[in-house]
Amino acid sequence: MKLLKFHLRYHPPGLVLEYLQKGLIKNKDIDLLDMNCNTDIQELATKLYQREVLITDDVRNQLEQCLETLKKRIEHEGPMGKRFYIYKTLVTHILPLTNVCFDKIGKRCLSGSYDRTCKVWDVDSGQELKTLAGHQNVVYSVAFNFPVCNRVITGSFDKTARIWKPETGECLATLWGHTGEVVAAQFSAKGDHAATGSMDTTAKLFDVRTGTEVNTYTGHTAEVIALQFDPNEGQRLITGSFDGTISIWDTRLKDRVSVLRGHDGEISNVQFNWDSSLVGSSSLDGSAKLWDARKTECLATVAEHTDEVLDICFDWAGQRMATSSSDCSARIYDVKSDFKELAVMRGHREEVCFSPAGGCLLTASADRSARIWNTTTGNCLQVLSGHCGEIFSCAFSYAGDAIITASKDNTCRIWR
Amino acid sequence: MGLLSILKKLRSNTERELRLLLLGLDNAGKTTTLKQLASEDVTQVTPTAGFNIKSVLSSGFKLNVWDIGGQKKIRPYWRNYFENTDVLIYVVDCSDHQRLQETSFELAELLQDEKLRGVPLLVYANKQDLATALPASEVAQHLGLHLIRDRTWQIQACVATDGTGVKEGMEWVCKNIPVKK
Repeated sequence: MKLLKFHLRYHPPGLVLEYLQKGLIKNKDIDLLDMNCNTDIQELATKLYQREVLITDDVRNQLEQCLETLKKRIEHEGPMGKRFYIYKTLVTHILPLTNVCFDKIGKRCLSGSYDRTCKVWDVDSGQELKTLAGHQNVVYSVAFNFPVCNRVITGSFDKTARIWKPETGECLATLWGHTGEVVAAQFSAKGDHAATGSMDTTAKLFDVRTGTEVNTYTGHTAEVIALQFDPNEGQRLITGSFDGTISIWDTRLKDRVSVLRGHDGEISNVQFNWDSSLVGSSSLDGSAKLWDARKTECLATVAEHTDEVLDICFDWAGQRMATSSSDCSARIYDVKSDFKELAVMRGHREEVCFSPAGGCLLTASADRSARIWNTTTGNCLQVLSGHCGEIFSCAFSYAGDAIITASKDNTCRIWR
Repeated sequence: MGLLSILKKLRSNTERELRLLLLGLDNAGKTTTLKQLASEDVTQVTPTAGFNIKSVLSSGFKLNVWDIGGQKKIRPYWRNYFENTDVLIYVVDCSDHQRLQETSFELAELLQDEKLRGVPLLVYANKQDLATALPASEVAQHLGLHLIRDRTWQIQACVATDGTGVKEGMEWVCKNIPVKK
């Protein structure tokens, strides 16, 4: 066995060792999820050196350099991190926007709209690259296939989902079968499958290549409004429903693997953490719960919010989760050890997301602004104001250097 | 009003919850009517480039009223909102004689749509406080309401800016709710 190269993975922090074994090139992933601004690089390098046979004495220097780079990337985003300014305002949708997202490298973004189209934008120039037109009603959910990002999936109120080629604007497949609005659509990590969630209470699995239905997941008794594939193998799918339950499905089986019960109100969102060992759920009953993904056991309940919890997300390393609520606060919890509340941020509600390195939390709100918060202190670092309407949706780019916000004023803004 | 609350409003509603669709040409007074229903300030109303939703309690019903922008270029998108509509409310600016033909054309289009088949229709003959306003009976003539055979309908004279007649219209709505499957 011979080590060929170190590859860096920024978010969440990790190394990939590329090595040669019996004439074959192989990769080994090392997660460094605990890494933060205070990590002792020497100590970590020693630990890795002792643990990994591939790391020999003569590459120790390189290893330390790599770790240093990773650490810098996290520090860069710390409390003294960058400020964001309006970089581009994207206007062409004549009706309100729905969801927005970036591609992996942050070069393009997508916006869905009530005008029945999804637009692909060039982030640098603010130019519209393509309009994905064909849906007969509101385009509600939009997503790229991470990490390749050569396909787009849209879910629409016309009861279908479509798969597009963003370069040409060509519709490759229309995913039929739902009898209600499609409000969630996502590609699996390998990009071979797509899943859709609908107001008709079912979720469906489709073959991306052929556009044919692989399976229909029935079991929920109300609308399926959130879903996610597990980020690793992509063989598990979680769905959250207005019936108050979360279901876990195995894409190789027809029937439900498990049901997570415990919420007393509609589910507003469900998410896997990075290694897909945990599931987080937020509910309109005013609580958020954390579940062990392999059991049906609830590990912790967050009950500090005094009103509906509207959104939940994990940070990229899966160490913390954040919730936002109608009570106008966002809260951050430690999910690795004791589920302690780490910070409370008051004044905002609709949507939350972490910056990739986890130093900042982004919230969007009906007060026409988005805010950036320091995740350690809970202080507001910056208010992104300028929209003339409520902000529906917001996202960080993978590199953490750009933010996108979508508003009811029918514009989308890019902040850098 | 985030995206999630829109989904909540989209749900196939329960027995005591109704979905009302407020349509009409631009400047007809839809948003003012909506605000009047919700007892909000009506002095600051701007053209709607999209939609507004408000929930109002009336006669024991929860009315989810969807006010949709009426400008010409966004009228083709009215169809986005037809699904699960319980009552259609059409607002007419009775002082705008020049556009009576346009408004009756748009209404005729709506009444032909499959998704709105059989849905009760309430027409608000708005802006009755203006000197040039046609009376409700004449507006009904122009719109050809008496020719409608496939649904119940009502025309209600009103002044959305001060609320005259708006409540009476809602009372008719609550009395004429279609029986749910």
